[in-house]
Amino acid sequence: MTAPVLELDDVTRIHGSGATAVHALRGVSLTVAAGELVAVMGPSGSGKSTLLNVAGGLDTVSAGAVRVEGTDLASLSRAALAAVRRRSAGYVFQDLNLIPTLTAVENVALPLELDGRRRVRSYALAALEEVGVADLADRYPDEMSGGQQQRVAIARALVGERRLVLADEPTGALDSETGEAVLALLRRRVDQGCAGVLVTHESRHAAWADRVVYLRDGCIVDSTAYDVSPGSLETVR
Amino acid sequence: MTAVLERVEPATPPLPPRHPSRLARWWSSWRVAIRLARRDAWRGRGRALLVLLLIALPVSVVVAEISYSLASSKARASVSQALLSLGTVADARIMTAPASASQSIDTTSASTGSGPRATRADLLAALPAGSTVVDAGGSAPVVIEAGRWGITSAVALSDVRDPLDAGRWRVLDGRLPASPSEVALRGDEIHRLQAHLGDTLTLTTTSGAVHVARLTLVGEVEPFSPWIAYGDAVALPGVLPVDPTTTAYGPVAVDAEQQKLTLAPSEFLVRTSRPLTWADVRALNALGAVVASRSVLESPPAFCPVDVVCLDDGPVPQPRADPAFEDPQALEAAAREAALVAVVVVLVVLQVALLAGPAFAVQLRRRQRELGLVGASGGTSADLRRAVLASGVVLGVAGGLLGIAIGWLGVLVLGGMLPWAPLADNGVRLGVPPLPWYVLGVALIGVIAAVVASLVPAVLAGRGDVVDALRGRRPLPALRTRTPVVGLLLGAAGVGLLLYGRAKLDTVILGVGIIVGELGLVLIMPWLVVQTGRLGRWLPLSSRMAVRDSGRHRLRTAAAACAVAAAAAAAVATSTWAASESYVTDSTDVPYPPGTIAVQVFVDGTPESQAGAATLTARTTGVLESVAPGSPTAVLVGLTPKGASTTPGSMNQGSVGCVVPVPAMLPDGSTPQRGVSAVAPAGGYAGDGVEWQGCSGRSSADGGLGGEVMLLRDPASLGLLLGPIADVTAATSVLEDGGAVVLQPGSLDAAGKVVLQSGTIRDDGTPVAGPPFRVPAAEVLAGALPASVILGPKALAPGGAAASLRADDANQVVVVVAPSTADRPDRPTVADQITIGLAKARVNAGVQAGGSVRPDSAAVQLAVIGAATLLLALLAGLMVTALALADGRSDITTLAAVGAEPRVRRRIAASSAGFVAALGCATGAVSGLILAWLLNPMFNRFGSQTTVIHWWLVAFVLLGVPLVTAGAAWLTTRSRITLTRRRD
Amino acid sequence: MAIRHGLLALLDEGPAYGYQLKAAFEERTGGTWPLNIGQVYTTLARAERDGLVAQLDVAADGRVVYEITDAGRHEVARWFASPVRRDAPARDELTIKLAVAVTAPGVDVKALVQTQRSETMRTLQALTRLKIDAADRPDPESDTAWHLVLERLIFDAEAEARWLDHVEARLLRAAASTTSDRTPAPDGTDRANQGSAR
Repeated sequence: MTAPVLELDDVTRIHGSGATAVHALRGVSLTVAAGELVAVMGPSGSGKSTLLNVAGGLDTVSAGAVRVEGTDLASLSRAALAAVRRRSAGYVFQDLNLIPTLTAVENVALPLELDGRRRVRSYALAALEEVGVADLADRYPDEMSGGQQQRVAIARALVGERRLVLADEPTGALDSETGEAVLALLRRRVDQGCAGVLVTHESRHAAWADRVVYLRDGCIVDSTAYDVSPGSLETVR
Repeated sequence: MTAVLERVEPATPPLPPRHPSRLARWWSSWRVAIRLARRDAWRGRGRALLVLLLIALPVSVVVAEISYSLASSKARASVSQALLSLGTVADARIMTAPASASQSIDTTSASTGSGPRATRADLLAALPAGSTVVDAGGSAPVVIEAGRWGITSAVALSDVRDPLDAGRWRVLDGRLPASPSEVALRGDEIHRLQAHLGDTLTLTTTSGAVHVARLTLVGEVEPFSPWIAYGDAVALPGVLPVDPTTTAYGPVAVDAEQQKLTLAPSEFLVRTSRPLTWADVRALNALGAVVASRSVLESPPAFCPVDVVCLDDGPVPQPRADPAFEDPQALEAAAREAALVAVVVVLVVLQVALLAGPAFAVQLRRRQRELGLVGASGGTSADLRRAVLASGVVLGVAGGLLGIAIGWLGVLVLGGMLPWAPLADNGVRLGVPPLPWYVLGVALIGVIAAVVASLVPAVLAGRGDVVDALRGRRPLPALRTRTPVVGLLLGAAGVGLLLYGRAKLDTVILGVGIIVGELGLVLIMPWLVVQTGRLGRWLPLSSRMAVRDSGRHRLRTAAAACAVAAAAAAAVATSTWAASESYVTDSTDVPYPPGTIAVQVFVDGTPESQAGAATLTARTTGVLESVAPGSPTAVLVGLTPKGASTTPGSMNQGSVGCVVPVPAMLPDGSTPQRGVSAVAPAGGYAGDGVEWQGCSGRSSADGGLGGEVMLLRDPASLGLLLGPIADVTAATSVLEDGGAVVLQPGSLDAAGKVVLQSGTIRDDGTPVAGPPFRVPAAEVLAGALPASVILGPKALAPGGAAASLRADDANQVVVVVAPSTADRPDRPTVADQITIGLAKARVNAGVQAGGSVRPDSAAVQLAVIGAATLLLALLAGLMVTALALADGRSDITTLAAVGAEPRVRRRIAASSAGFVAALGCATGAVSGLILAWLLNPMFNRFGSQTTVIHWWLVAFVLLGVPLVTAGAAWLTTRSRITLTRRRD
Repeated sequence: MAIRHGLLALLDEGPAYGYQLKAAFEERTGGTWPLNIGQVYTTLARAERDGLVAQLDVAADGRVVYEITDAGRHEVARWFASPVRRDAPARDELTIKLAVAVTAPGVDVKALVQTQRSETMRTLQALTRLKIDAADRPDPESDTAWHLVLERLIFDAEAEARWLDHVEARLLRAAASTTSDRTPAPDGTDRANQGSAR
């Protein structure tokens, strides 16, 4: 078993202090290995977004440790955290994922260019190819549909050496058909060796994951893993 | 589902590595930032254009200035004039000069030798065979009369019949003179004489022997170039004797017998069989002539600049400046000037940055999501900062280049292409103006201004939280109490610097103080915005919303308000200085009282002056008597120290001036010069030399000899001299008792005496100052300022306080007359009649009518200042309001959504713009008043402590400007509300 | 009832044996609901009794070929044209269980909800996995029908999970208000009495 890509170890996150303190996360522990897609479900205010934020270093923890590919994020400076987001973890948001003034291929290449790499166009084109929208390479986001934008966003999230995709309701703004396609893509990429955390409130979408984790009031209250592969629908029924 | 342990490698090209060099990585990050900025500017074209213009306009003004001055200072102008002066036919124009002369290619500079001038025969011999020479030069000063009208003028004596002279005179009416009994005049002169073609004019010479000619006016003419002839009329040679003193390159040697007519011509036009080269020109120089040769002018030799004296193959070698003689003061003055320019540049950059700042602040909010995405994709704070700064760079570069283009095109079109070429130099088109490489430096300053404007938004972007940016939440950054306190400290530091600069009389320190003070204001302004925003409680709903909105968006409101404040402060300060100054100068700027005519007799080295000052004065009073019989006169005479040379016109004459005690010294903005006599309160003096700061603050070097201290021959005529003053009898008795009347305020010492000092120049040229002496004096504020100090004869008498001085007509004589005859429209004015009479009497004099010549320009000044402030306030207020209205996140959009009536939008716009303008004007007015009060003594020429405030202007600034700005916003806002999606 | 109309619709396409009908039905519904041949014959007999089908022929080995009558065709058309009525909801075990549990004392309803939801989720995951794995099934004819049925099951499971979320939230709200009623007020009086005073 390889080392987990993402590891949350008894993570607590408190906003504010004293009487008005809000415990966004309480003692949350979670590991995600490569090839594993974990869905996080919970009502609003349960801490889903906070979990995603601390996983990628966008937010700091009050207690506990967050490790991405073995590195403890708490020991990193702001600039180093940004490096983590460039090279290890990628985000996909519900909508408006893409920078409107950059073309699709420029959006995908953004983390690479920020990392100081040159001549990244062909690499980014290949990434777009993988998600099936290579023909949209030089289009701007407002010339694409929502589903196409999300595909580009996924391509960007996993470009380079990144092995962790953090998705915050990526299908929220899409119709079910397109949403399914996006999830299928995510699933495929995870199967190819990445780790994924998918925050969603739709059970149907959470079902794409290997494990579903329930958050309530900042705690993990349950987690389902599917172990048996059914042969037909009779067994399921 | 089992996890796939090996990563399935897709068939993709390899990942490009990180560039090893940090510089390359830094550049890569900048490339992304610039790409984002470029595209964002293209999307928000309107906003970008606004910033572009803000940068481009100042740049274009400076570039136009540079280009124009280069174009017109290129010696093309002088070469063109020289070519014009040749007319269309002549190959060269030759002016005789003492032999062994040397000249510049365009003949503007020349140094003469000491030999005899070339004669016509000499020239014919020296020129290539087959050349023709035509007499073309010389002029005679005359009085031209037609009936009862007359003018003083000069006649050019030139053989206009010869075809060689073609192309030099433009005939507007009639023709050129063809016989010795004809004359042609310029249009202005014909008009002043009220003459018509065909009239007979009487020309009387006014120098040399008296010669009268009666000529018929046959044409109205105009020389093509002012270089062609000296004079307003043209006649054939021989009609009048040439005035030897008006020839070029020094007076022609005058015949020993002064009465003989000198007919030797000194200027010729030639046509040669082959073009005259530079070698030919040099040969003629050696012979005794200065030559303007067509072929040399059209293709000047490359080894000399056209306006520098040129030898056979190169310019005259300049003596190496001896470092020992290098004037450290000149260096210091140059450094000081550079520092002042730098101060002005910084202030302009600051103002442009304040005006452009709101645009960048709004842009930051618009790009919030985009920046959040960059952060989520792994951008560091530095990357986010760069993204905002890059838009400053992009807009700055575009604006700078645009400014260069506008400036250059402006000069090209206005100077060269338009038919009337308003910028043309002396009628010569500028052609294509040059654009030197250093205009890029001006554009660079524009870039700096744009970057400064985007600085604060950039820092905020870097500090911003990515999560908040992605959520679209914009928590109001806490107003750190540190910032306004720092601002107050800076303001205090600025005031301190101003006081220090005032004490040291150093304008550079003053400039730095102003900059520091303005920076302090910039830091305090956000706090002020918040505090005054609370006052909105008492306003009606829509205004309250507008004020609240402005208060919430501190950055853009503060920037705009600061821009307005700077303009308002400048307006209030300059108007106060002007008012305080004119309070004192209004009454003392006029040399002679209204209703008088002053005749200043020049006693110089001319042959006429040989008659002696006494004779000249007698002739003058004779003319005055004949023109205005029985009118009272006052005679002022210059003073020189006893023992100085008495040769009229000699440079060794001494001079006398009044000196002021040190505390009231007014150097017009510069430090007192070396050699200024400073009288220490104890009575001694320091320094050497004859240059001193007089009571009027002017150096005697630029005021001419004398003029400061003069003798009034008859104290009883004081009233005539000074016009109506408070107590003329008291002042007259002071004069009669041997005292002095002082007309410049603040010139008396503690004991009520004026301090005078005289100086002479030794033979070797070194100045020597005499000891200062004190004369009891009365200070008088009069309506005229003929001199700074007036003495009576008693003071000069033995035993008088000024006994070391003596009256010296040769120094200066002014006769002031109050004519009892009035001017009539059908006759020349009394002043003109006096002028003509004096000219005929061979008295070299200047005639000036008394009274205020200057119209009251104060009103114009105020109007200009007020308009400039209003313009800037409009710009800032309207811009920031338009930005706020277009900003989808503001409360205004919410108002629209809840169904407020359309008029509300206008009300909001008016309140918003008015708020910004009012806040800016209030702070600006206060700062301006402080500034004016602090610096008034320095800028006021006369050291008056009186601070006069133009309350009208202050009221206009405080009330009028905000109201007009609000009104303009009301008028220019569309009342239809378009719903924009609120992104909060 | 659904089976009757399904068989009728199949007969509408042409006469067929009972076994043929069974095979066709199972194929067309993706094999989700396999039929008992006896069930088929019983249904056909009842339909014949109602005049919707008629025996066409009897083969030598005793197999009966049925054909649809005009009344039957009419019935099929009516079935297709009218929506499936939902007024009498089928009895659902989970709904009954929870309805009872909520008011039964001593039942940890929260745990019940959570347990059920995990189970539903597991089902959902399994179904989804089936769907993924079947993504490249080559057989197009029955594929669409199979996917339809699969997705119906998926949506049903999702609906169940959502309803469970909803129940849980409602329970939480109720719990919040009852606990505040039961917590003694600072001055010792029962907050429930205070509530009415508000």
